[in-house]
Amino acid sequence: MEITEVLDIKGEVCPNTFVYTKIKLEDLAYSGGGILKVIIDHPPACENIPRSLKGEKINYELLEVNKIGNTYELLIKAPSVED
Amino acid sequence: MENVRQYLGMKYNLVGVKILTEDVPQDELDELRPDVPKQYCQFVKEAALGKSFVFLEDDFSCPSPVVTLGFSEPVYIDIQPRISPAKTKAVKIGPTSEIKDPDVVLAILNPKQVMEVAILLDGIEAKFVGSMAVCGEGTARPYMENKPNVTFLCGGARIYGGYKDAEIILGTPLETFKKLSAKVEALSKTCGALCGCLTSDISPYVIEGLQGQGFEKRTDYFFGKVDDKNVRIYLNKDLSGRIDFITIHLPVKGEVKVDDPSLVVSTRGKWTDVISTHPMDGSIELETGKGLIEAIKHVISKVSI
Repeated sequence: MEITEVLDIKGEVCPNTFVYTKIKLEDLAYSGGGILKVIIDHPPACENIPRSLKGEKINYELLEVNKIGNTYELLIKAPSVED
Repeated sequence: MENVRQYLGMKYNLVGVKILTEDVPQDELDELRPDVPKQYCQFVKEAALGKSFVFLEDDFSCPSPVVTLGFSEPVYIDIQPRISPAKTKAVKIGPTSEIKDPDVVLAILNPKQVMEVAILLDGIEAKFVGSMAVCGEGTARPYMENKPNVTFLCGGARIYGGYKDAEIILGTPLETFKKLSAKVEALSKTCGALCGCLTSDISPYVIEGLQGQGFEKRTDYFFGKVDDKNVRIYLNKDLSGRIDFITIHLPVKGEVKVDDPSLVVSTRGKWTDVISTHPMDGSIELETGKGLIEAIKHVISKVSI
């Protein structure tokens, strides 16, 4: 699986985690789409980031949630969206 | 509960939160469901300003309250604090005057007000991390642990919820809040205690009336002599600042015998305090001093060394 972009937001807590993620995903969607790897160390963000994507107009797809040591990686697919 | 608000000098309404595990009737949903999704903390602020709401799971623009308020179990990782097991079907919030038997009472306070509550409750333990704050730390934690918690809010509440920098939230289970209310009520009736309200904001007519009877104004009482006995007059105000009771305090050196069960007697080292309280029912007129000397002489007449 090829990662298009990485968003390392360790140290951030909710709501910043899902706000920053959604901004990055939108950028990705409008620039051809791809897979975003989000790195976090605030555990509740593992729940909140996927839930925050549910109401979005763009259909993001959560591919994986992985725990790596004290951090978590979320892989999220952003479809390509034309302006 | 309103007495707590008055006592603390709160700017906002107290907000009652009721966690509902049964379906809400459609007519109630039609009336109280919000028009657009917002953050829970935003709704709490609006409730503090007088509005009432009933929420379903889809009414939040922030994902946190869906889990913290128990609408849904977490999927990927456990989140704390949260209401569990997740059986919530709706949440009702509004000013406490509108919410019958709330599970949790939320108060938007400043640090000094929290300090005053902590004194009355013999301390409050605060557990907060600055995330999922109003929903988790302020609502779910008091609900689950059945004890108050203070939250310093989260970035979402500060940015989107419209909370000012100096505003924090105290979440309290209803039973604890009732105890707090009872303590405030007791405080308002401390006419028997020798701590008077400050005399600096008492009407000049009252001050002149007491001075006309030979009493000097001190910081929180008036001092004078009647029948060569030292006498203190305390004017005790209610929560709205009106003089509610008059306390006559006669300090006597040594042990005394008091021949009137309505008088309160307590010892203080070598001194005995004889205390008489009088409601503002017209028997004593502060502006003219009518009835005051008679009441003091009555107290003195009942005391023998």
